[in-house]
Amino acid sequence: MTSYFKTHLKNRVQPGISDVFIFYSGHGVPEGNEAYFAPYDLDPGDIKNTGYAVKELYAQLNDIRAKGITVAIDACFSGTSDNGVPIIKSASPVFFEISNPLLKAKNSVVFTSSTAKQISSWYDKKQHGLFTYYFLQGLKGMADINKDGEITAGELEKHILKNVSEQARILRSREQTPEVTGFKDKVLIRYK
Amino acid sequence: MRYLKISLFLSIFLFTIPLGLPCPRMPLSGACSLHAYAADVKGSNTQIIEIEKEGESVLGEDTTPAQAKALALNNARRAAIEQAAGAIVHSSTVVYNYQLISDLIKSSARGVIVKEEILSDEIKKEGKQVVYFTKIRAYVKILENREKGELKFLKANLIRYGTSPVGNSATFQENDEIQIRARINKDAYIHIFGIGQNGIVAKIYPNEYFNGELLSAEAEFIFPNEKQRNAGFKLKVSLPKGLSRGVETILIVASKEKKDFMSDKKATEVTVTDLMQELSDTASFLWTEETIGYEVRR
Repeated sequence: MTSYFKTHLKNRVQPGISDVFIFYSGHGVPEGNEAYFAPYDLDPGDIKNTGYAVKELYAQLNDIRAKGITVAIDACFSGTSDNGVPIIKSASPVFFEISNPLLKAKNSVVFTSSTAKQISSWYDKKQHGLFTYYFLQGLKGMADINKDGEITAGELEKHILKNVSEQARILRSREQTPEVTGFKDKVLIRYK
Repeated sequence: MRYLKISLFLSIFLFTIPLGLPCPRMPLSGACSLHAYAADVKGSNTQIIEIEKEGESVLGEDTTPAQAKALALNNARRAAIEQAAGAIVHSSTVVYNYQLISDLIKSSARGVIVKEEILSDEIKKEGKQVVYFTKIRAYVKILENREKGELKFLKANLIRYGTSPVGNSATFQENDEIQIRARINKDAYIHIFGIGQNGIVAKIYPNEYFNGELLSAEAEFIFPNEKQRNAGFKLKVSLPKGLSRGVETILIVASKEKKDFMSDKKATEVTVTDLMQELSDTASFLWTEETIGYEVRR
């Protein structure tokens, strides 16, 4: 994964032209205050060296100068903040509070299936992660609230938040709150 | 000092003429001596004046030794510039309040320290007070008197997010979210700096996340605006470490040309004097500024 994002993706992106879309559905594991993707060869006893830090993915993406980036992660503990605390960049005495890990990358948006402390549920009946199911359902047209033939990140956020949280309580009796940060006017799909 | 007429042919520091003039005013204690140098800066004849000045700072309950040292140094610098360039002195306050910074920035159109040497640096007990003294030898570049341009702020406010502005100062609680609003009479680029009471400057806008765009005449500038806030960026205020109350300043500069101030300096090292030096390199009719004071309480 490291090699793919650091080298392959970077080499294929045309600065200012390419629109990058990254979707991950799989296991996520916490280690200390950080979340990691769990590749098939993850060693649970050595997560730091065999997992791929979510933070590392954002660092690589901030560096590729694409026209736009959309990231969707359906994994446990995938929230963009460490324990709910936003990234603070000191410019003392006025400081920046940054809740979007891809703020530096222009026109970017990040969808995560749950907060940094929550489990992301599986939707048995649909054979998808709960978040993935409603993410795809929204993109298919259900999220087009104003019926203008376009689905923005903001519209998809409303669709996911309502349905994922509701179904997680009904099916699993647990809280699952997807998080969406970034440029919510970004048009994700256009049907015209 | 601007009445001095010296034939200027040689390069900087080639010869020295001790003038032996009396010190015009002494807002801070300490010795004062003046020397004028012939200088040629960027193709225009410019005077460099050598001044020795002492700055002091009282170590109060809310002041750490490091802060007192920085304040004493900055007060010495301020005194040197004021004496050389004729800045208006409003008070001998030892913290960088917004009026003081406003005066200093205005003076950068007339003079700036190009070199300095620290002659002494000591802590003394004066009665019940502990005072930090710093003595410097500053070389102040006197710039040609230029007329101010037509660029001016129609509005400049600092507000707690979601509220309305009250006057040209504000009081916040630690961790309050703030917004900066401004309007200018001509098309211009906006630059925002935060200045702590120790004189350290932090660049707020433009920054690594948002580029400076040309703002149209009379259009409202809001930072961060709703789009930027929704994208995951907020501006908040904090207190200097260990203090229960802090008085800080926001400096807004509008420039006709696109500029990248403080681009090559580390954020923690830039003082108000450094910023003045950069501003002085830009012709004064090409920029204007507004300072806004605010207080942060725990």
